[in-house]
Amino acid sequence: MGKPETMGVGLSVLDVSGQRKRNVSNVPEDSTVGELVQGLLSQMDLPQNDASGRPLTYHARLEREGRHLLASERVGDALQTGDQLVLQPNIDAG
Amino acid sequence: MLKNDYRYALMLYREGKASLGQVAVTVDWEPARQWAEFRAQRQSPARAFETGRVSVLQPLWHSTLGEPYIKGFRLSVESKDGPEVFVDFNTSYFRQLAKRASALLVKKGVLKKGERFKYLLAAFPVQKMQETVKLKFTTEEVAPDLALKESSLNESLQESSFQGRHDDEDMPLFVPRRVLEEAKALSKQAGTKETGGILIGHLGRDSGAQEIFAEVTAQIPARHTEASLTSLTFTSETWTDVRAALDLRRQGELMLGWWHSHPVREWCKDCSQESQKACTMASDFFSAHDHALHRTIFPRAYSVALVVNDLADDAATFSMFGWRRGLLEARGFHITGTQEQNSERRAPTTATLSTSSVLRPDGFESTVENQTRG
Repeated sequence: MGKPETMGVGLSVLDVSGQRKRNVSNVPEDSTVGELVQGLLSQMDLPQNDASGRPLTYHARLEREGRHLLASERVGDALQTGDQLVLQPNIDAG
Repeated sequence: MLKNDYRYALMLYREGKASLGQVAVTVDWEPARQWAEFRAQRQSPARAFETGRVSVLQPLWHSTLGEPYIKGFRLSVESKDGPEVFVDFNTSYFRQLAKRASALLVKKGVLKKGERFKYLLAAFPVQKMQETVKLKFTTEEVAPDLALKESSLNESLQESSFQGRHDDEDMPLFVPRRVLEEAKALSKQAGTKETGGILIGHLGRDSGAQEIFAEVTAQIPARHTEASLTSLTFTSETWTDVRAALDLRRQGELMLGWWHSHPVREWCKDCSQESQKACTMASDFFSAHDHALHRTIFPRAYSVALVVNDLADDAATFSMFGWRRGLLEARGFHITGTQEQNSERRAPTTATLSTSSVLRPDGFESTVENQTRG
């Protein structure tokens, strides 16, 4: 008999404007918030670099707790199914 | 979802047709997809915004050079309950990529700074194996909460004055004079630093006119920013603050765009006010960073950006930018509110980039100078 599969965490994720929303399922509990955010950027068509080609920093804000998650936090520790995350970049205008 | 079975390459040439090289390009199709999908929405404004629409991207082969060279591309938008809508884009869409590629050639010494060059685009079928990327989780798009407010477009038009360049493809945009005045006052207060904010409002629908339009209702000053004479950083805390302000207002408004100032009076402080007004930095100047911010935060086809050109003394001009066929362009807008004339304001008329794009009989689509402003 094999090891039972865990379902992972289910979330909803929004961009800053709230006009782009994705339901995300089966996020492995042992993945990190940083890995999750990185995977979401391409799914949500969010640019990964700024105008100079430098990587953009996106913060994941957990609405339930009103705080920014650290990239190193483990999904299984920080998130619960049903949570809502907002991806918020630091970004320059010129 | 975007279906694309081709990869694209850029071929650069000197004006005398000598080849400068070929580079594979990673194209950001999102603004084009947003434009095509919004076009489909504007054609049937009574329908709710759909999710899960499939947009199919196909190359349009060059009429004289043939495959693999292209004269543009077509984006077809499939709809569950309406006709398929398609939009054709020409090779101007790739202009920024061509500029970036030319900058690399300048760095290598192959091209001189300021030297004109031409570019062609080619499309090649993608091997299926290259397409799929395994994700550790699955995602599903959710329909945006975009309630369209029913109101009379004609009435709004009658009660407003138009500023800027009209383009039939632009969605009508209404901005209260009060919002412009607030943005100007905040720009003056910021002194030698840039400042900015978020434009909020509603998307309106006029069933009679079969059109969607945007009405700005207010601006939310951006706090928790880092500003200098030439830059303004919107931080994660800025977005948290704006979202909280939107929630507190309880008006069901959405982020229609953003604004920021250009302290031209400081950039050009040795020039007269008249010279400042005539300066290219004071009229329809949108930097590469501005462009990147707009693409990142406001990729929707209806999203707009206002620039307050803060001039000497009490003067200021306003420039509006928005998406047109997937490119960010200077655009016009309607000013609502009191009709008193503001002599400082003038119409933005120049293009956003100091480039030219011409269709040439020799098959070359575009000519670009490898210099940008800002």
